[in-house]
Amino acid sequence: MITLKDAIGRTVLGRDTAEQLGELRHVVVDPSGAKVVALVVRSGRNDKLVAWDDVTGFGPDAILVGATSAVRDPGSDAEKADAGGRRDPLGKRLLNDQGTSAGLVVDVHFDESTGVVDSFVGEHAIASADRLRGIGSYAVVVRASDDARAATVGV
Amino acid sequence: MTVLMRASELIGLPVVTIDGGEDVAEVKDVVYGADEGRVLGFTLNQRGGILRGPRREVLPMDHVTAVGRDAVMIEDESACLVPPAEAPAPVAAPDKARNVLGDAVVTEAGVRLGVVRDVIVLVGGDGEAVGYELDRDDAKGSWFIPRPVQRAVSGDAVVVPVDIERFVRDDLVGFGAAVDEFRAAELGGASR
Repeated sequence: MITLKDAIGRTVLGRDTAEQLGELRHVVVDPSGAKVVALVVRSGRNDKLVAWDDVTGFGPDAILVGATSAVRDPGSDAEKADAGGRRDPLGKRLLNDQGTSAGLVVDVHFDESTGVVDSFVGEHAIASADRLRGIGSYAVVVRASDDARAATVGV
Repeated sequence: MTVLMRASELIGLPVVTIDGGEDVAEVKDVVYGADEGRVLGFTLNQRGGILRGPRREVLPMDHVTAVGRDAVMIEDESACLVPPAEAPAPVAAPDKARNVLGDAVVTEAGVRLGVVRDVIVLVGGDGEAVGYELDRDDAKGSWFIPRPVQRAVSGDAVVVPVDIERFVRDDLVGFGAAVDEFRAAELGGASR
């Protein structure tokens, strides 16, 4: 399991050229599958995208990308928004569908081999990713837990 | 679950899409229906604060999934925020004369307790109002009184049962329980 907080800033290398392609800037999480579907790599002043399927190794010291050419400029508006961190959970409000927040997301735990997200760590509570409903520029929205419904404790 | 909030505290809350995670607007004002005893909807500002100015669309309560402590949750921006022409009249053009704020609170024995300062709503639900906060006439500070379901409300006064004092609290903590007790008594006929 990877903790995203520690992975931000990690060096991204091209496996084919051993070239340093940049640093991990954001992840892109698809809410429908609660899965990391792409990484945002900052190279100089440019934020580029690499699909999760092109990531061949996610290690403690470096992230390896199969081919240098897999790191590309965002094309569509949606990709540009992703490159800007729109679907990165870190730093967003952790909010349940009842309108209660557990503070900001300070960490995200995910499986480094599959990209499947396990949980979102908020300032005041942790939410399991199987409750994820949406991620946007404002919030990570999760289905309210039974505890939260019963007593509005946590999210 | 009884977590309570002042209606005035809803002002400024973000309106957030559940599946999008976007804040699409901010609550500008709360439209309260005194007869219905609940929040009927919201007028809106642009996201990013009052400086951005108002949004033309309004948010009827039927389109709200939940009113929470930290946000008003909706399913979808285009479906939920509607032009005033398509909104229920009380939300599109709130009747200022029916505003309960500033109303005198008077018991059935003709004793005036104070003036309504705020409406207390249940968090997480459909905006049901369970009570009023009032500025006391007889002393500094405020009282929280349960909202009588079976008593009249006009633009001038709220009439409450004589025995309301049993259910009055001076802070929001414990007021939820007082509301429950009051309702049990009201429905049971104990408060006549």
